[in-house]
Amino acid sequence: MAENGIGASVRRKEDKRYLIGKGNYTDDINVVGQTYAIFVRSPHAHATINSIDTANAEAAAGVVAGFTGDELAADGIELSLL
Amino acid sequence: MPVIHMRVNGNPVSGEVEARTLLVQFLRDDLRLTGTHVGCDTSQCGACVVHVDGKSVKSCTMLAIMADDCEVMTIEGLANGSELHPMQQAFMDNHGLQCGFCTPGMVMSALDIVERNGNELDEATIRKELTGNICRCTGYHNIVKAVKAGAKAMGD
Repeated sequence: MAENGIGASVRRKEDKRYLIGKGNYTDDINVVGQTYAIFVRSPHAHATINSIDTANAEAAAGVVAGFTGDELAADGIELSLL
Repeated sequence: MPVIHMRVNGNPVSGEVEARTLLVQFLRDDLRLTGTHVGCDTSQCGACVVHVDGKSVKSCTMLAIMADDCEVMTIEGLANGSELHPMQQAFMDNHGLQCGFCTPGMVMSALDIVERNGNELDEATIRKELTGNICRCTGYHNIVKAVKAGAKAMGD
């Protein structure tokens, strides 16, 4: 087998951290002050959204904020239906 | 809340946990040893395998309080400084991992296979013994090679 070039064995560089348990996958991340996002989905398969009332949710203990599509749009974050 | 004491990777640790806390949660959340993974929530995948008092255990399927006073070894306890354990090295040399998520569980299970079956492992034994570990990436082919090579290296 060639030392380099065509036919050479190219070793991966990332293996060590996975092998020693330092993969830092998404759920491994833990920073002070981190928050968790929960998505509230429609309970209906096909419906028209007339209104969304986040008042109770936002008043619940430990809740930092609640966002609806209107608020994202107001911030210029476009959501398109694919 | 119960207070538990155990040795993890040789280090004495303690914590106050709810009785319902799983060992994997205690390791990951309280001790910040995130090498042990939660892959399934159904006890099927083996990404959570650790050793408790020398035996491999799915840490998602036991309570932390059950490990009180026990010796626990996780993937983080294998390497000796910068020197990989022979089984870890075998996985590296034989391309036994891709995304790496199942890998800690595979390695910990592999060590237990060697403990119970010795250093000369045949493919059929390895495949049977790894029934409790799922991998979505590799198709197991190179994991089997890695376990076989690692077992042999551990005997040298």
